[in-house]
This record gives sequence, C-alpha cells and structure tokens, in this order.
Amino acid sequence: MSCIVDARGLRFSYQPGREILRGVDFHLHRAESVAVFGRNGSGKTTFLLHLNGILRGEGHLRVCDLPVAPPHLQHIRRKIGFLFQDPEDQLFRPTILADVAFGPLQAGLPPAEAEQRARRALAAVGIEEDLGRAPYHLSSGEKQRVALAGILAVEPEVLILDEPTTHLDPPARRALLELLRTLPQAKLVVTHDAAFARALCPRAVFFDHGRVAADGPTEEIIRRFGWDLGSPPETSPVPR
Amino acid sequence: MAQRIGPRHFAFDEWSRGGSFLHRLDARWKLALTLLALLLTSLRQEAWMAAPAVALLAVAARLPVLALAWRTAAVLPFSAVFALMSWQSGDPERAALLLWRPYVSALWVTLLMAVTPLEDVLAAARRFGAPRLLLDVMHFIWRYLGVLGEQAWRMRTAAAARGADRSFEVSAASLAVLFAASYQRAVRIHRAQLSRGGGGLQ
Repeated sequence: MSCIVDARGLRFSYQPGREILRGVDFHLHRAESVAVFGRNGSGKTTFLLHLNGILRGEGHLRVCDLPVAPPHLQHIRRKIGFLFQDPEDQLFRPTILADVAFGPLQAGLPPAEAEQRARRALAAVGIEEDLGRAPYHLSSGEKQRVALAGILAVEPEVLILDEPTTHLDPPARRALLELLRTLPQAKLVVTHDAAFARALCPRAVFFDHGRVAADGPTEEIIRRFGWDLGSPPETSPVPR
Repeated sequence: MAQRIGPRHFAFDEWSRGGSFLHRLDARWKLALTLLALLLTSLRQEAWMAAPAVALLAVAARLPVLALAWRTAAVLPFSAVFALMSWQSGDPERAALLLWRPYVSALWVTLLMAVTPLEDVLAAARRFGAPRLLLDVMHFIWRYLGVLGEQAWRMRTAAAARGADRSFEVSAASLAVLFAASYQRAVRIHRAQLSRGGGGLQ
C-alpha cells in the first residue's frame, strides 16, 4: 500500500524550551484506519495540525507525496478532511447547504458544481431535507454529520477526526461509526473511546510525551496501556 | 410562565420563526421599510412618536413587547454618554435627542430581527447590493455571540451550583475567563476555516 502520510523526526514547540512533539515517526497508508490514543497533552492534536500545515514544526513530513509547506498547503488541505472536536467551531455559514459548499467554493469550483457536491455529501451523511436551515439549530449528532459533510464535499483522501464522539449519545455514535465504515478514505481518529476505536480501526498508535510510544493492533494497544475502563494497563507508559 | 431551563441566548431565533402577517412578509420589504424608518428617525424630530407604532406592530406579531423594549435598551449606555455630555454643556434638548433617537432606531431594528430570521435579512441585504464581506462579518458576530452567550450561561450555572453570588468580583472574573475562552475559540474557528481551504472571511 502506498504511504499517504509520512512523518519522521517531527518536532514542535509552542514556546521555546517546551517541546510538544519530540521526534514523531508515523506513517499512514491509503484506505487505512488508525486510532490515535494518548493522554491529554501528549501531542496528538498538535501532531494532527501538522498534517494540513496549520502548525509547522521541524523534521520530515510528506502528505500525498508532497512536502507540507508552501506552495503546496492549499492542495494538501483539499486532500485532508479535518473534523474538529467541537462542531460549533466548524459550522460558520448561515445555512447547512452554504456551510457544506464552503470547501468546494474555496477550492475554486463554480457555485453550481459546489452546490451539487454539497448536496451529494449531505446525502452521504443522511441529510437531504431542509438544507436552508441554520446549522447551529441542529442537535449535536446532526451538527457532527453536517461538519463531516463539509469535509467530504471536497473529496479528500484522508479523514482526520479529532475526538468525534465527544458530544454524541450512543445512538449517534453508532450512526457515525456505521457512516465512517462506508467511507473509503484513509482515517486517523483521535479518540478516548476504546469501543469506537475497536470497531473502526484495526491499527492504533499511542502518543506519550510527544512521541509515538507504540504502534500496533488496536486491541493490543488498548490492553497494553489500559485504554479501556474495564482493564488496567499491562505496562507503564514510556518514562519522561 | 415556566422557568427556562436552557440557555437564554438568542430569543430572536425563536421569535423570528412565528406565523404572523409580519413574519410572512417578504424580507426585502421588511428590510426596505426598516431602512426608511431609520432614515425618517434620523431626519425628523417628531419621529419619536414611532415608538408606540413599533409597540403596536410587536403586539400584532404576537411578540413580547416589554422583552423587546428591554433588549433594545442595550443601546442606551452608549448614547447616554453623549447625552450626558450635551446636558452638561447646557443643551438639554440635544441631550434628549441623543437618548431617544438611537433608542427608537434600535427599536425598528429589533422589530425587524424579531420577525425575520437572520439568514433572510442577510439574503435581502445581499439582493440590495450590500457587500458580501460586510454581511459575512455580521453573520459571524451574530452566530458567535450566541455561542458565547451559551458559554456564559453555562459558567453562571456552574458558579451558582457552587454557591457563587452575583457579586461584581465573581462577574468580573467570569468575564475575564470568557474573554480568554473567546480568544481560544477564535483560534479554533480560524484553524477550521484554514483546514477547509479558506483564509478567513472572503
């Protein structure tokens, strides 16, 4: 399988003397689904924000065979669909249709084609009626689906989902899981939800103190680091 | 009246979805008439008499008149500063003008927003040739004032649950936290826009 994300020795500090990423090595292949575990503050989201160039650290990083640097950033951002943790941050247009069409319009598509793409993406997530509603009047699950449609509309090759189940009740989680299973894109899912990760991702990585401490089958990672409420960790995390 | 359990932000979102004749009127007509009303208010001394007319229209639209009047009073602290300056300079007539004229103008706008969903107002303004950037900014402000309002409500609820009073100290500290949280949210929103190929509002 070809490598769609290739990171080696990635380092980053928000401020001098306080390194958040301390040499991250990670690769993701096409159509692969990988869960990303780790304690709060271990660098997971910081790493993800490097993949579409929102943050720029040091080291080797290529996405879709392109270096994550100008002048490739706009192209890379069309290849990566980033679903943020709080859909309130992501829904900023007056209507559902306008919000989902935002990405295709930014990509330079004519308005008519952008609207068609938006309608197709909304249909894919099961929202086909009342597209003139304001997105912020929806339930959490619906907002999440509209936000997902917004990133699907640009037809990305990689989906990055940052704690996608945080605001969802169990039926909405199940619906999101079933939807994600039908999508062919490679997926990186930051989550504390072990059951969700087990059901969606055969592989997982564990972030610890700014590095990938482990990389392997999801069940093994969950058991090893006690990432399931029912079982304590088999080993201690990597010491500082 | 039953006590509201949820956040109280944006009663306008609820009010604007009523079924009265004013609600059903085309947004372009409502916007045009509001703009005309604002023009007359700014030009005519006796336009203060429009205030009862606004109240009657609100009643006809089945809106809570007192709540509308109270929300509109948010403009008074700003105009009161200038009114006070005029009063102190020995011009009480001008001081009165500086108080009622902004208030009556704001009443017209409040009525418009109470009978017309924001999306329709912005679409109407777009049809009239208003710059898209301006409308996007207005929508952003409206949208995220609501989000901040919800956050403020949650903070107040959490503080009350811990026995906090409504003292100046508690309110000031909460406001500072809300300001910082707003900045963080703005950073996240910008990142979300960048991730979808945007460069902020365009």
